[in-house]
Amino acid sequence: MAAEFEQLIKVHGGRIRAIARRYADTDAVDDLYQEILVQLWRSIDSFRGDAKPETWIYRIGLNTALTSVRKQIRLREGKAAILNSQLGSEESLGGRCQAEILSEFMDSLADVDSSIMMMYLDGLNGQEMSSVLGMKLNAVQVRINRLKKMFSDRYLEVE
Amino acid sequence: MMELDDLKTTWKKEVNMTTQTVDFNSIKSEVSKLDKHAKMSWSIEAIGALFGIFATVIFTWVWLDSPIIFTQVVAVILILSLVYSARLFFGIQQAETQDDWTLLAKINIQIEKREKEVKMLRNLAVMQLIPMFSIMTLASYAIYIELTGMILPSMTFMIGWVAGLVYFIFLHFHNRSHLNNKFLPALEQLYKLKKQLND
Repeated sequence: MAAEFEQLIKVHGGRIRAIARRYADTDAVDDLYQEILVQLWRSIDSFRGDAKPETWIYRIGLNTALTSVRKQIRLREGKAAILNSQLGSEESLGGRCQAEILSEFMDSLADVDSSIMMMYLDGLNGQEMSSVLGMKLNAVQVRINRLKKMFSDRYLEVE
Repeated sequence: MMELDDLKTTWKKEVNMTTQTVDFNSIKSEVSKLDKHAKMSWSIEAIGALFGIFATVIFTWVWLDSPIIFTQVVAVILILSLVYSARLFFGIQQAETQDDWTLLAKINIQIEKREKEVKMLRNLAVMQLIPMFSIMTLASYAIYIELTGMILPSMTFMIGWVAGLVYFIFLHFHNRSHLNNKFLPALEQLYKLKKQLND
């Protein structure tokens, strides 16, 4: 069991850290990363290989990030509000690399949209996202379309 | 021209970034520490309640030769209140929502637990502190009568009661502040997340 877990973390450690980076302030990323690892180890029995490891990692990772780190989430919401106000001005959008755009766009989203965005970019399908979040498949698809439109409205003309 | 799907490559790069080696032992020790802590806090409450009941029974029906009716009635009330408190604290940790491992279910469970805690903290003064203070006052008065044989409490005893009252008032305001600064903001955050999932 331990060897299996270590192998999973070896392969998906980057994914877990990416989730932690999205939901915690810079100085709290390590804590959240560690907390997600702890929860993954606690629930390793629930992962029987019948779901994709990515789905299981998002399930535990998002549950942990969104329901445990209240303080960091509050700070993140504050940051998102500032970014949203900055995004209102199109002049500030030019000349940036995709990583910056990705980070900025995700930071401007609400927590649930941000998690849908992560899973979408990671190649999870609507059914898998729905099983992670507990939302109806239709609702997930509507959110994805909304995100695409939001992204287009913000960046398509500028880039 | 840039579309949302173009960011998939960027995200893959972020996900594939090398991470530091995981100290597996620290994860295992963290898990056992958390488990121990959870078990310990329950044990302390359970042992505290059991000890209270045991001490009351021993004092009233073993140590005192022939307790007066008043002492016996107070002892029974004290035992019942200890059982009630233990049951109340235990009930808070139980959630009726089934965990199907989705984020929505997890949030619903958290909301259910936090709502129970908030309800308990809001009613703490009426449901717990005032009855507990009254019972403690009666119990100490019963002990006083048994030990001294006097009906009128002495000045020292009255000072003890006032100190007890001050302590219970402090507990009340401490809980109110805990409720307003910790539990209500956390619950608010959970409602927001639930709304986001349901919108």
